Amino acid sequence: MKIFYLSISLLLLGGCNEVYIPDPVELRIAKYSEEGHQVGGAIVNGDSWKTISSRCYLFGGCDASSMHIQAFPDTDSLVVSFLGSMQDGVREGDDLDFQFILKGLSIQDFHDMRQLNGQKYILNDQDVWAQIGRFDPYYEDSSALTPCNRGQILFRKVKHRVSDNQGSYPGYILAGTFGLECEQNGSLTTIYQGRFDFFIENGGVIFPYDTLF
Amino acid sequence: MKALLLVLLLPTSLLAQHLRGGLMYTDVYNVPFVDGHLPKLRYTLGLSFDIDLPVWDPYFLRAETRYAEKGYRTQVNEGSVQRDFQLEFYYIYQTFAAAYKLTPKVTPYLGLEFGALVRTQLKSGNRYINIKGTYHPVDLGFLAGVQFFSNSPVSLDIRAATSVIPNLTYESFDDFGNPRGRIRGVNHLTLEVAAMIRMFKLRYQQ
Repeated sequence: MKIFYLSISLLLLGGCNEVYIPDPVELRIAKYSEEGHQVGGAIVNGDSWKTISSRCYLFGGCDASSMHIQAFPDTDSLVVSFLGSMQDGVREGDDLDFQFILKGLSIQDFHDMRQLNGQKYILNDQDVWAQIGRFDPYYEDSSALTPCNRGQILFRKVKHRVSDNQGSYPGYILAGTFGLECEQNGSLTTIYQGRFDFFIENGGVIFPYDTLF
Repeated sequence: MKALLLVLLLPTSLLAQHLRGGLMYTDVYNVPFVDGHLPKLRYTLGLSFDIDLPVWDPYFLRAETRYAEKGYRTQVNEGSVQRDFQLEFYYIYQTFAAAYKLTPKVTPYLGLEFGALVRTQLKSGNRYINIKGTYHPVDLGFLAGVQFFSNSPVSLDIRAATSVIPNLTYESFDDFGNPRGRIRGVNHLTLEVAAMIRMFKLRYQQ
């Protein structure tokens, strides 16, 4: 089932062009913006990380978007994922994804995304948690993911964008920041200075199969 | 921005008396968020005209329009590797200076310059990335210089200039993404050595 949801998300969230403008302070990552630039960045263990523009998987299928949002009204959960790769350092080129699981938000339809505006969610092991690793929707192996024990995600701006004369679709811009510290087997991974700025078209938040159809 | 450039360029171009071109040693100050920075060698090219009325003698005014490339270099440590970044700012400046004929051959001057930022880019390795909407579109600067052999058709002009107002206002974040307040910085600092070629003299000029 999950595979199916993700497959749909590829169609709905993809297709927008990335606008990469370097941060004037941390030159290796994208600057923080609230324009729907379709880009995110972070410093992972001192090296730069950036969201991907596309990725193909070992057992088939390709991803054309790097921010995925899945809503599960039955379990009152929202899953926000960022797909990316390391840009420099010894792990240059390696895929690395971040996933936040938020509970208790009552996201029932797409426009409920507005309630994220200005909200900060701090990891607490109860209704906010996060994990990092490489998410493969076609070959899921949760043991390969590293849970995070400290961190947060801040949705600084969630705003509606109407369609324009150039043929763009209405939807929401989601912009914010995040930071994580994740430890597994004594190995600490720090994700600092995280930021994201994405435009998601109406219908771009994935709901369970029986709600969608 | 195009209208501003036209306003800046048109009068000086029509009345140009001098052609001015040279090298520029350019750096920045007021950048506490950068771990060290290095200067760059760039160039400048411009046109100028003097308003040199006999009743003002020995003082006169000089208006100048010039193109200038400013910027700086910085390096980021990535393990044992150092990665080099170069910030480049392309400006069109309009300058107004008050000059004093100290001797027939030496003319010191003081002035203000107003720069319109045409383009900013980051160079990293072989990659050039256009930076849009990050730095202030206008640079306000103060300058001081001396023109040597000013009574000759070709003279030497040495000038120092600095930004009066920081060119960057940006919101910074802590490691976890909490807003940490606005930072202001990036003031340009340049030292120019240029040749000035006089194309003609006005009738009242000696």
